[in-house]
Amino acid sequence: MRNILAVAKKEIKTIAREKTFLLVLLVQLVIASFSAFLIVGMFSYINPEAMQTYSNSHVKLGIVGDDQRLLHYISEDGRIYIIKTKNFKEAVDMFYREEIDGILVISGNMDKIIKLDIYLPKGDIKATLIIAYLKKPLERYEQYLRKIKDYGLREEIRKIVTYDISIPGKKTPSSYFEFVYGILIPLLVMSPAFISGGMIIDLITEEKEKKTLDILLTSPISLKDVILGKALVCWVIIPLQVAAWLFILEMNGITINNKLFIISLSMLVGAILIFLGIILAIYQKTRGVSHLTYSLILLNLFLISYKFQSFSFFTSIMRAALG
Amino acid sequence: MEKIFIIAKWELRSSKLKFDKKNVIFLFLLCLSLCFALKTINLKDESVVKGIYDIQAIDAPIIKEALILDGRFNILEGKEPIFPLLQEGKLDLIVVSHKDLVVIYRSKSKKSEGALDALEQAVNRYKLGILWKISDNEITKAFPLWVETHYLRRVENFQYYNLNSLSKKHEKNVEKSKSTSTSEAIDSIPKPMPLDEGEARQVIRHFESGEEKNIAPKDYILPPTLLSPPIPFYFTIITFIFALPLYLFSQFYSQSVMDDKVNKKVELLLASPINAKELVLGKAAVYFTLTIITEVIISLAILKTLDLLVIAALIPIILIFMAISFVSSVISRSFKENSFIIVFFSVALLAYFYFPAMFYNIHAVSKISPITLAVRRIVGESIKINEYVFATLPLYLCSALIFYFGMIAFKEEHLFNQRGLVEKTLNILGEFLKKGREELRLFLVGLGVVPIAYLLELMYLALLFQIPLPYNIYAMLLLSALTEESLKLLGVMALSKRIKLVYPALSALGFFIGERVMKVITLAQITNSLFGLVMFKEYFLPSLALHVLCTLLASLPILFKDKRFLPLSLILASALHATYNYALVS
Repeated sequence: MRNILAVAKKEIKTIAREKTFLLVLLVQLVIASFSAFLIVGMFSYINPEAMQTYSNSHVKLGIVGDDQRLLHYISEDGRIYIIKTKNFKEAVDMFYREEIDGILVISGNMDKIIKLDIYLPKGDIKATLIIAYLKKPLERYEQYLRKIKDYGLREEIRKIVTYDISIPGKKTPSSYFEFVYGILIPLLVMSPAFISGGMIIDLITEEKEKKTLDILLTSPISLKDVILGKALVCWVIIPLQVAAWLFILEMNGITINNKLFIISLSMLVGAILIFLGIILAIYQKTRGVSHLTYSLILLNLFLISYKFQSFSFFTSIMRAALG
Repeated sequence: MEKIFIIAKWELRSSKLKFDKKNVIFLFLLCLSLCFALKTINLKDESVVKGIYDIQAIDAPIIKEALILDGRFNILEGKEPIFPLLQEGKLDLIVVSHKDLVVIYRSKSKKSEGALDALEQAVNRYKLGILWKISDNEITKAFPLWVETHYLRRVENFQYYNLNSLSKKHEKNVEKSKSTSTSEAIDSIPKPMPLDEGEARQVIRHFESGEEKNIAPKDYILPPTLLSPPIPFYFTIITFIFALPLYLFSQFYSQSVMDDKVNKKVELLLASPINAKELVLGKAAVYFTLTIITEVIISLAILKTLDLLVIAALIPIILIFMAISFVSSVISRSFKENSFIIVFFSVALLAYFYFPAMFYNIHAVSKISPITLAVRRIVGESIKINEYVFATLPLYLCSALIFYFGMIAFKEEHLFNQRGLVEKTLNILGEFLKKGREELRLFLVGLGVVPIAYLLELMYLALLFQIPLPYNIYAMLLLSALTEESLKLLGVMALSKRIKLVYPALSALGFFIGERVMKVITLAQITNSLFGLVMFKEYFLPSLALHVLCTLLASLPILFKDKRFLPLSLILASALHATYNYALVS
């Protein structure tokens, strides 16, 4: 045991001298400082509709045609300014002069089908915003139309067609919630374990390639002690980083329950990955190949755990964080 | 040239040796299973969050059916609502249905709020299923409203979103140039058309037949429920795939340099007729070529075409990654240190390339990144030569400088000593300076650090522009002043033992001239935005005087041979510099 601690102490000393750990923390901090951006950014990629909740920027929509109720629904929210235009040509002119961000043309009639043509700027974030803002009002209008046209339908069908539990007002979209707890927290909490698995490979292959392992083994320290000492260092830095991540997430207003359980779970995963790293470092010829194999195995494990969620650490973390 | 080729051949052969047969089979199997897993797993699959919400549904058959179909809910049975569970947070919603009335109880938690949204989605999805079924006979009742989206390319004009767009002069010019193009454009726009029942039925049949039920195609006629906004940053995210080989091969490259270093092969090679330059270039050539080949393959696989301009936009990025990997492996003391330096710079560089590219078409800041050029090519735009130069020149220059620096350092005394990074850098710089004609060399160092300062400032610009307005300007002013002062001081510090009064002035002069040259080359791209103003001030002589004065101030501790006060003098000089720039901007 004393030998293991001696090796661990030596590793900590070199890490402190090279200030590498400082760099690791710095990298994580850089990512963390963008985490607000990351959450919204990554999330809006998975679910662009979420823009509806996050964005407060206004858009100007040029309208061709008239429908009082529809326009009322659209403008109610306050983020879409409605600008009535005389005809399609004028609207297009205004669109290209950037006086409006999009065009909505209303055609058709109440008895049959009402058709809306929406013109949006290609590749522009405003296009995403307009559709995100329009979706709810249009659904409301659709529901209104269904209600006034429900005559002649069979009762059980009519009941379902006009069934409406839309709840007005802003709310946390469920997908945001599911993204943060289902993907973001598990990934962030596991990343220190991933890093440690990679670090042990560096620590062992370094001794191997510098040929210092032989010298170390001539001392009273055994190979087992050397490896365990190194593994210990990699292992103890995991809870520190996980705690930091949890702290940053809480600062961003995300409640996390069962923190101790999450930390111990990440340490368990870390222990498994460190073990994997040790095996790869010993049996593979060079550091590069070990790292490549390690990352590939990691990716495979990640996808497998995604597939079989009932056994997955990710699901356990999600459930623990939710309380 | 021939020798470079020989080294390249060796490198290829030795990198092959690292992979024995067993390894290759194992790696191949891993890749295969990865591909298989990626194919079978739907990353947008909602079953990740299976049973995430706990809900109690009483006398609500429609809702219960919808919830079972959805899968995200854990349904609790029971005749009476259990409110204590709701308060404890063990239950997120209670739904009680009574005749036509549905009462929903929720708690104050965010999760309950999310559950509410999920409930609405579940019911809507269920409803849609029923509506599909009756749509054949009752299309106007089931789907009374249809939406068709058209995407039009607008003439880009960054001035509009630019900070400087507030000035009226600009806007007038812009309007004039635009109104001419409008009349031509209107004929090519698809006209709004009414929709009849038959067409609507056809669309629904199309949806029912395929797997597309849940995926709304763009530019399509849809009922509002199926409408989904276009994915923002879509093309920028596609370009992420190009970053993978970049990172991987630069890792391999630095690994190879580290190997030679650790196994003391470098000593033998340097003793041979091959010189350091040939050794470095030969190695670099192999990995550069491999990266390019992989990028071409990716381009063919994903974009289905080979656009040379996309590859051309990637070249400076590959070079800067390789340059940093090379220098890092030369000056770092261990594999650990090397890994972390590379990871750190990779994160910083990727942020610099990708954050601005996210704002392609929205903000002028996107112009600083070569990834924006690649994105613009992918969506089919043309790129002007000055735009290419603007986005890539700083990277080319910096890569060249960093490589050159690495070559000077590629000697036994630097490769194997255990000094800290800053000290090592100063030593290597000192060696370059002491080769003769110190004054001229110092001037050149001052000139040479300009692209690095420029690149760093662009990096700050990329990272800071999201912070609200006055603060990002302050942060930018302080950071760029600190960067410029530190870089100007580098050469002076390297010669600290034989310092002369004229040295700080020479370094400052070099920097000043470099800055002017940079300005001429890249003018008119971002110089008319507020950020641009911070980077390039208009006054000639006062600016020169300021540069010299600040460097002198910062070097005072070196001149008086007492380095303890160096941080203080550096901060003072930066503050002076920042204040001057602030006065100019305001």
